[in-house]
This record gives sequence, C-alpha cells and structure tokens, in this order.
Amino acid sequence: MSNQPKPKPNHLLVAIITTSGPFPEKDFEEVPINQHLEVMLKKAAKALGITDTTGWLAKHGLTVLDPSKSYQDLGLTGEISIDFGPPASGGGNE
Amino acid sequence: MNEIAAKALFMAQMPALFSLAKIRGWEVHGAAYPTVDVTFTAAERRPLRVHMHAPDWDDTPPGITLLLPSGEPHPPDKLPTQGMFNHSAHNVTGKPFICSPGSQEYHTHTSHAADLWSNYREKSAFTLPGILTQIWNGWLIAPIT
Repeated sequence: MSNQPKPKPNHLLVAIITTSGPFPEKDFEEVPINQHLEVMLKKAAKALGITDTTGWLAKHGLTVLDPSKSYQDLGLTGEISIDFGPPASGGGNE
Repeated sequence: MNEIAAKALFMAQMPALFSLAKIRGWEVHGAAYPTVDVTFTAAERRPLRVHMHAPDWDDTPPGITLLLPSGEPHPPDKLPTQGMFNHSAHNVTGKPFICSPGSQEYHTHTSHAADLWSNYREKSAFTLPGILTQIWNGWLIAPIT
C-alpha cells in the first residue's frame, strides 16, 4: 500500500505498469470510478513515450481487462496496479 | 552496431527494467551491459531464471538462456508448457529456447529464419524489458507442472 491519502468518494487510485516503467512514476493517480480504463492506458503510453501498443493487454493480476469499460464495470476499487504490456506469444515445440 | 552505441541503448533501458523488477518481484542477478539476468518467482510456481546476452543491442536480439535459480541449465522437461517455451534442442545452441520473436534463438531457428528481427526491433514491445515481460507473461500463464 502507498502512503497516498484515500481517494475521494467515487474515485480510486490507479497505477499503470508498462515495459517502460510505471505511470505515474511514483504512487498512484486518482481517477473517477466511471472513467474508462483506456483513458489511463493512453495517458501512460503518451507520458512514457510508448508509440505502439498494438496487441498489448491490460491485466489486473492474471485477469485480462477490457479497456473500453469503466473501473466500476470492471469491479475495481481502492488502490490498483494494472500491468499493460505485450502478451506472451510464440510457436512452442516443433 | 558500434559497442559504445549498443551499450548506451542497452543501459538506457535498465531503469525501466529495475522498476519492473521491483514491482513484479523479479530477482535481478545482473543488469549491466551486455547481460540481463533475472529470476521470476511466484507462489506455487517453479522459479525461472532468464539470462539475456545482448552485446549487439539492438542490431540483433538478445540470446536467451533458460536457467534454474542456481544458474545451472534448466532441464527441458521441467520448463513451462506454454507456447513460447520450446523444449527441443535448438539447431544452433542445442539447448531448449524461447521460440518467440525477440529471442535470437527464434530468429536463427530454421523454422523462423525468414521472420527477421528488423520486423520487430522498432516496436515498443521489443525493448529488453518488453521481451522480458513477454517471457514473464508466458511463464505466468503456463499450466503449473
């Protein structure tokens, strides 16, 4: 848990973890629960200079999240870190 | 790639790698040009040590060796059973390998030699932390054996 104050009513604290590091750089950003996840994903990519997120997944733990949904619709509350990055790929045994 | 330029590009990506390691609980054994050496750990999951060697970054992708946490070679039959972990002997190294773009072993494998690294190297997913993230994601979703 961070030392950040608790969020205002109808808000939550969000951090986006990317391959270029976290956004915000420290702690969390307070966002409204009805905001769509894609807003923070785009904001993080822009801030960190990530130009191409094609095919990237947003995950909370092992759960893949739909960026077009709000935090409320996704059932996310409190203080959360979201992994945003390229998924595993590959061909395997041949 | 000029060694000084390769080293500069390599080291510029290490702050992000250390940041991810701290957040994700990766144990960093080394992260200095030309080597990245980390162990992934998670509850109820067999740890995996990933050794990346990238002396010519980013003209060529890193060579990736899969190890036990002790640093010994990983037994092929104990590797995760997920698509990117190829348990067979690579045609150049003779070892199991990461069969996914971004690994030198993928791009030099007889099955994928036509899929050039130049198709990927400019993409944001194919930084050193990005390649490591892809392997971590593959390790995380592999069935527990």
